[in-house]
Parts: sequence; structure tokens; C-alpha cells
Amino acid sequence: MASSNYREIAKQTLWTDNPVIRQILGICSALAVTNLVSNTLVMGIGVSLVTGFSSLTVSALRKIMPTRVRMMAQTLIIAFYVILVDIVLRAFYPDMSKALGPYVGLIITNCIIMGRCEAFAQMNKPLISFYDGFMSGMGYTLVLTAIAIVRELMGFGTILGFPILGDWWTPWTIMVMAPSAFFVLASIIWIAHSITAKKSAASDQTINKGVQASGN
Amino acid sequence: MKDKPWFNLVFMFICTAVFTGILSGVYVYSRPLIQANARLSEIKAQMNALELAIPAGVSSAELEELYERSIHETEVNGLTLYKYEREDGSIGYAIPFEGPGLWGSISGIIALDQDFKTVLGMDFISQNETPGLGGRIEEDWFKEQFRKIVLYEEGEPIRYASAGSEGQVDAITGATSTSNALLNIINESIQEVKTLTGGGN
Repeated sequence: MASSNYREIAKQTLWTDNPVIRQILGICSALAVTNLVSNTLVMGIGVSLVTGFSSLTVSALRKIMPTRVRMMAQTLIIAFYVILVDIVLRAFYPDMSKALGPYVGLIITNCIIMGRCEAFAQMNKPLISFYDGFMSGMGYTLVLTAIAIVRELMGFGTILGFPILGDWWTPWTIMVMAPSAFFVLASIIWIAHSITAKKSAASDQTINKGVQASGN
Repeated sequence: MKDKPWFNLVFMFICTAVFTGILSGVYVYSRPLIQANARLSEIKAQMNALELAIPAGVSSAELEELYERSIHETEVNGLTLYKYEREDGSIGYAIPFEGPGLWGSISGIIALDQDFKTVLGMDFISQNETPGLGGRIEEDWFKEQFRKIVLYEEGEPIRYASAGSEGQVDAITGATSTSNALLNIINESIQEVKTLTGGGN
């Protein structure tokens, strides 16, 4: 199987088969958390860890998990890790927990996690499943950070709280609110697809492989 | 065996038991830590509101001790207040407030002077407002506006300044709902305190 190759997975999850720009998954949180880069990064790390460990667990249980209840079991496993992340943050990183507020609980609604459990971890060994899940989370983080940089820069004139644009900049309030994420996300998807479309003309086969692996 | 109906049931049963079991364990283990964090953030909010400087780099135990030494719980007509007597003899009262914000409940501390006529300061314990918009109530520039402001005798004790009307503090641009909700909560608790203590009448 081509996707059992670590480099191939990295390339797919980060670019050719990116969960956000290719599979259009995880859009709800892409709109909600991207008004500040710092929130986006913590959310991205949370999603990456939860996706990785959920995939690891689903993969470890794949031989004994009955097919009919597998979705129930996956939801249970994902919820388990999300609550774990929430407890750890509240106990050891109270400031970060305060800053993230309700977002941690929202990790559970991220379709990427279940998508990777279903499409990959179900059929692969634990270690590579963890890697696939974690890298999918990273692909998600990459796109969200790009959106967040545009939104924070135009909405506040800062990046990670550091002032970048001077006083002459009039912050665009729309960039702080959810609708702007639609514009920025759509623009990013447009750019990304234009680039891949150009490449696919050159090498049609690589793209086909990428799409097939995700078409589940 | 994998697809037998009874195995589905047994599998889910065991799965649920194991995962919730682990979570309960982690929860019980971390509960004292979480409670200590919550207590610490309340202490910090009270000290901030009362202008009692928090020394840099103190441990949580030292902070707790400093708090126990300087701030005392008192009851006035069935109302719990936290009293802080300064060395110069002036007294400040920390009043906890809680109420509905735009998304979730907002809780915090507002500190008044001994006559309940001046606000000494305000700080939050928890809030879940929109980050970057309503969430900016947590930023220092907003909270510091509540230092040393004189309450209005008639009507709402604290008002936002806007074109054509007087007020003591500025609202947050683009977060009208949160700004208004917050002021309602604070004004309600100030008025409750005034009524119960007979102050301001």
C-alpha cells in the first residue's frame, strides 16, 4: 500500500490531500478559532494530539472491534481523549485553559478525527496510524494558522499579540468576526487548487493516487 | 465471534467501562489541583480588585497566606463581602458578581470603598466571551478603567460614555452585547449591596 510510506503520508496530509483545503473537513473550527494566531496554534496542537491518539487506539483495537458498533466505539475513544486534554489543561495549565474556554470541548466535533479513524486507522498498524492522525492534525493546523495570520494581522494589526502594523493601520473589525474566515478560507482553497491544477497537468498520476487514498 | 450480536454489546460495555474508568481516575487525581487553581484565580481577582499588590514570583502558598492575613470574609445583612483594611485605616469591600454574558456566565469581583460610593477596581474569575471581541473585557485597559470611579447616585451606578451622554467607562467596539451584559451584572450587584447595606441612601 502506497500510503504506508511515512513520507507519502506527510505529503498527502500537509498538501495534496490536506484535510481542510482538499477534503473540506474541520471547517466549523476553522471559522471559530482563527481570529488569533495563539488560539489557533493551541487548538491545532490539541486536534493533532487527539487525532493521533484516537487513531492509535482505534488501530490497536481494530482486530477485535465489531464493525457494526465501530462508530460508537470511535466516538467514545475520541471523547475520552478530548476530556483528558481538557482535564490536563485545567489542572496544569490553568491560564491556557482560561484562554481557550469552550474550544477544547469543541475538538470533539472535528470531523477530521473520525475521518482518519474510519479511513486509515481501521486498516493500518497502530504506529503509522498515530503518525497519519497526527500529521492530518498538522495539515489542519497549517491551513488554520495561515488563515489566522491574515485575520489577526488585518483585524488587530498584530501577530501573536506583537504589533506588526503601526498606528496608521485601521483594524478591519470584519476580520475579527467569523464571516471573514469564509473569505480567507475560500481564497486559500482557491490558491491551493490553482497550484495543484497546474501540477496535475504535468503529472496526472500523483494526484489520482492522493484522491483515491482519501476516497472513503 | 467479532460480528455476533452479543459480542457487540460486550465490546461496547467493556470499552465504556475501561475508558470512563480511566477518566474517573484522572479526574479524582486532578480535582484538588483544579480546585486549587480555581481558588487561586479567585484570590487573585479579589486582590487585584482591592488594589492589593500581588508580589512578583510568589508561590501559591505564600499568596494564600498573604490573602488570609489581609482580607477577611464578613457578612452584612446576609450578604457575603470580603473586607480589606489598609494600614492607613481605609476599608475596601470585594463583592463577587455573577450573571449571564453573551455566551456563558461571567463571574468576577468588584471592589467598592467603605461608603459604597467609589469603585476601587474590578477583575474577572471566569468568562467565555468571543475571543478578540467580547473576550477583550479581560484585557488590562478595559479592567483598569474601573479604578477609582465615582458611582452615579441616581439610576445606573456605572454608565458607558458615549456621544451625547456622560459615563465613567468606555465600552468595547464591536462587542456591544458583552459590554452591556457585563455592565448590567455589575450594576445589579452594586445596587443589591447598596440596598442591603443601606449605603447610598
